[in-house]
Amino acid sequence: MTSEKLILRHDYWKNINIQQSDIDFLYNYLLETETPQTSFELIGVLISKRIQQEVELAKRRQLGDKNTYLPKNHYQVNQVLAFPALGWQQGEILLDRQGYNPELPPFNVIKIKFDNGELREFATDLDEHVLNNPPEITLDDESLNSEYILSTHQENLTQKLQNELINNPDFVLVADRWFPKALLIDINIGHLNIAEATLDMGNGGPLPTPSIMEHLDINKGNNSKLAQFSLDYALQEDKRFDEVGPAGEMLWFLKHLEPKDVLETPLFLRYQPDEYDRSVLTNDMLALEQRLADELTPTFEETQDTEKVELRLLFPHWRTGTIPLSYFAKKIFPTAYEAPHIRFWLVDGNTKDKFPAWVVRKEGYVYGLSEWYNTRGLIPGSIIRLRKSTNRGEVIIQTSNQRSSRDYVRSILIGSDGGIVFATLRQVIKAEYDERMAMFLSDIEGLDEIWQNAQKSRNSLESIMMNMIRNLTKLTPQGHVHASELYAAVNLVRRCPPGPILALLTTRPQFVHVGDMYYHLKD
Amino acid sequence: MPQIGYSIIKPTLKTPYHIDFEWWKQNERNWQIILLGYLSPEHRQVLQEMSQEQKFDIIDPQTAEVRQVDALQHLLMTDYSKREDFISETTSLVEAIFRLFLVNGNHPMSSEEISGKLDRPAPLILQMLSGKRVHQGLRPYRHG
Repeated sequence: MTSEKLILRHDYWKNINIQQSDIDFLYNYLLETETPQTSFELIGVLISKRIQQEVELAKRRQLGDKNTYLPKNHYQVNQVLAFPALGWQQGEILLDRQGYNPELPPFNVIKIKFDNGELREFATDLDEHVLNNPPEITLDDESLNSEYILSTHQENLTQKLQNELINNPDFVLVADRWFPKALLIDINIGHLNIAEATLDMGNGGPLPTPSIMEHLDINKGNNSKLAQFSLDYALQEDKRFDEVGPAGEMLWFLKHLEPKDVLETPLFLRYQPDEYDRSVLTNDMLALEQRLADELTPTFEETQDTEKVELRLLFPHWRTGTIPLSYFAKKIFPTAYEAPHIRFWLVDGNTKDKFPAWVVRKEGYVYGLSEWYNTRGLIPGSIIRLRKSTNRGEVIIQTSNQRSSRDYVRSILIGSDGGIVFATLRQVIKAEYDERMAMFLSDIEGLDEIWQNAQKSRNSLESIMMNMIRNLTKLTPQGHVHASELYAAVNLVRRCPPGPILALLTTRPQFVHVGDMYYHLKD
Repeated sequence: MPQIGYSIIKPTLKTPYHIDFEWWKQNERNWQIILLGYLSPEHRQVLQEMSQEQKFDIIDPQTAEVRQVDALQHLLMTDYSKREDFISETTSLVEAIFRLFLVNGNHPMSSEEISGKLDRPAPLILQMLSGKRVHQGLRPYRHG
């Protein structure tokens, strides 16, 4: 028995079209399993189904198709044949004649014109030939290897499947798990009202779904997981509830009891994008941008340890009690499939104290650190270290353990005209800080007023930068300002990532680079 | 007299070769006499009784493709396919390859495949087959 290697078109998986028959198959699969499945799991099922489908098609081509060339058959002139031994090339029969070879039993010969114009002859009416026994189909090609397909095309396939299912009213999606809507257990408005009351009694939550279910009279039948999934779906579709659990864990919270700064981006973190050309940024600037790890900076190259992150606190985050969810920090904090807000625990690496915090995914910050900043005596420019915890849903946060000391640091005062004045003064410092970015604030209300006023009239970034450089250069005998100092200073009055600042530094003639990312104003 | 050969693509260990009977006709004035020498006396007699115009259909054992050969080629292949002692330790490499193709019905084979049948190193076979000189019509097989 010979074997025929089945190979799918090289772009079969890349250009796959999810068809209605695929959707019907997945629907029936979910009906049979009665278990919600992730997109990844469904893609695996779909790949297996498609491979099986192609194998069956190949077998049909071999056995049942009268247009498949087998030496034992007789064919007619003008008939089009497919040749399994020639990679299923197709050709038309031009003529049929008697074969001549006294050593062999009688047979005929057909002349074939292949699609590429080639002319070749083949034996027919020949009972003894290996091709008369259909070759066994082998599946050792990578285009038929589920693991290989998943590793190579997972993103593309998942996207295509999700696009199909999300618009299909027969499917529901909860926390990246799909299920037929028809199988859901009925959850009525009464159940949802009791769920709201349950969460309300617990200060809004978070509560896992089973804890809410305990208070509801739901007919679970013999499938409590299905009942849980049905409740999750009903809660998800009701605007009163917010799913705040990290990926893989469903936790519910009453939306109106979530912190205001989670539901709405705080004033100090609101950014009105400044148009700039990233191509003007030098390699040194890009490296500095990466070190500053601003959440508003586009993605970086993957060069940093993603198990722990060190960041320098910027005034807007210090003021709102938040941590920037920079590209690297994102890998430390819990994420979710769909939930825009994730409630989790921060653990002080020094004291082991735990306190709740929120990941606000889309807007790019982690909320809930005001009290911790205050207790630890942090200032803008303080260095914070984050690392993953072995406990799920927890992140360890730490500053260096240093005794209070009186250091000369840049201090921010508000002048009689309401403007910012920089002065180097001795201050009590409780935590490690970045000397270039440190800012000691003594008049927070005065700064708040500057931010409020900026809502009404917005100065250009360039004029803010010039003003800051003029003030900062007074503090040093050299009269130079480092780009990171300027970035920290600009963010005292306006939320701005490093990119636009660095772009102006390199393109505007009034900013003179004196080396090593230090600048001064042209005389 | 061996002639200078040519090739467009550098042959590899996977390149199929065969006996190119057209080469024999074009390059060897005494080709019929030389090839007749490979036939047994009985087959020489049979050949004399055959029409020179008669073509024989040879069927490829793998693809069932049909190739037409003349009577001499046909007899060479049918004669040698029945012999068991056609290659001995003293047979030269060129002669052994030539006879191997006669035995298998001139079915194209690569240097690797020939190596497996003759127990000679494949690179040595390729070196001989891909040299500037064509030996006994052993040339790369070009489909069609």
